[in-house]
Amino acid sequence: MAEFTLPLNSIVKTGKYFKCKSADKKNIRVFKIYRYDPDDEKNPRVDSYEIDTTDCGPMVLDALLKIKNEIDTTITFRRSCREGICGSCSMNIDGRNTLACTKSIDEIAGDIKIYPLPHMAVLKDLVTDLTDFYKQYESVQPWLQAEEPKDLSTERLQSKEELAELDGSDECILCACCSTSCPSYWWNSDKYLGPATLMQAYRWIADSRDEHQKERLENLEDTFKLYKCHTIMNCTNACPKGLNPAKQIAKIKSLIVSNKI
Amino acid sequence: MLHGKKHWLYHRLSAILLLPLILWCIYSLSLVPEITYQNMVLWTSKTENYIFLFILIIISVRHFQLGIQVILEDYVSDKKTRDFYIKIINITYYLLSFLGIASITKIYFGVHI
Repeated sequence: MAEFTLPLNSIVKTGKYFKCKSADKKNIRVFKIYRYDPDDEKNPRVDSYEIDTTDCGPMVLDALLKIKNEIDTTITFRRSCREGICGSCSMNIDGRNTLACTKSIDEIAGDIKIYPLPHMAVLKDLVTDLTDFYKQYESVQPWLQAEEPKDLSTERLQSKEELAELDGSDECILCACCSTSCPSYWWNSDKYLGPATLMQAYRWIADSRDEHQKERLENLEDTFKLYKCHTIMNCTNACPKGLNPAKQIAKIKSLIVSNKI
Repeated sequence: MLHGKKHWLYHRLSAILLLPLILWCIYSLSLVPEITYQNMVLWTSKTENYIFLFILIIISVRHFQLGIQVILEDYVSDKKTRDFYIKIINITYYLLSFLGIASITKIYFGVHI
């Protein structure tokens, strides 16, 4: 059955408080950050860090880097491109899944609460285990499947209209913000593919160059893989790239019904 | 037990069909001067009301069964337990449909015979 209470070793405790050493304390913001180290066998805790924002970049990721560089080197998080392209720094900031590199500190009122992506196994601090997420992505075979052309010197051309079919799905950066905001994915993440993977599945179904649309749709025609999407729309609300995974999932359902699989 | 596409499709179709049927039910009942036992027997014994009630019972109970199945699939992770509960819900569907239809049929033919 679904579990509605946390096990005792998952209860989050209050952690350390790191005061700002700056003389000018006009622009102090407090960052409350989830900390968990699997090696010390202690409960997770929330540490608080005071940051002088006049001496820090504008984004939440800038503050995290400042904390790691200047206050607490043990804090662990993923980051890479720092401009919303790689999807590495996805985390739960101020109660919403988003990218730390594109979330401005000024957008948040009060203390800035930073947690890992919800309902995922935490490896350390803000780093979650995305192994299953990537396995699900692999399961939809996210690559072009088509017969080898007779003349290898010819290109697989697309018209502008055909390319437009991919708009709204091929911009996905697989940050997992959408999937980890979905209650259906929380309850059935081992069976339901989740919005990110389904949107990627649609990206290949809609590709005019792909010749395995029927097989792809047949693979998705399953109570759990696809139909655990109840159109809650949290995915669309959470997407930091402004995409609409719920709409693409609806298109898959519509194609399955109309294709009479 | 319906799965996948058929379950999704039937759940939505039944929801769409229920909308006009419920509106008809509310409107038709509002025309009954007073909700008494005798008036309700008379109301049910009208042929058009009997037919619409018949359809309403089948579709609403089916919609209920499909909805509960989704909830069980969402929240019961053990497959054996889940399938057991879904079977109970399916039996309940047939039982409720039979009871509902038998009741209105008894009223309809009881009055007409």
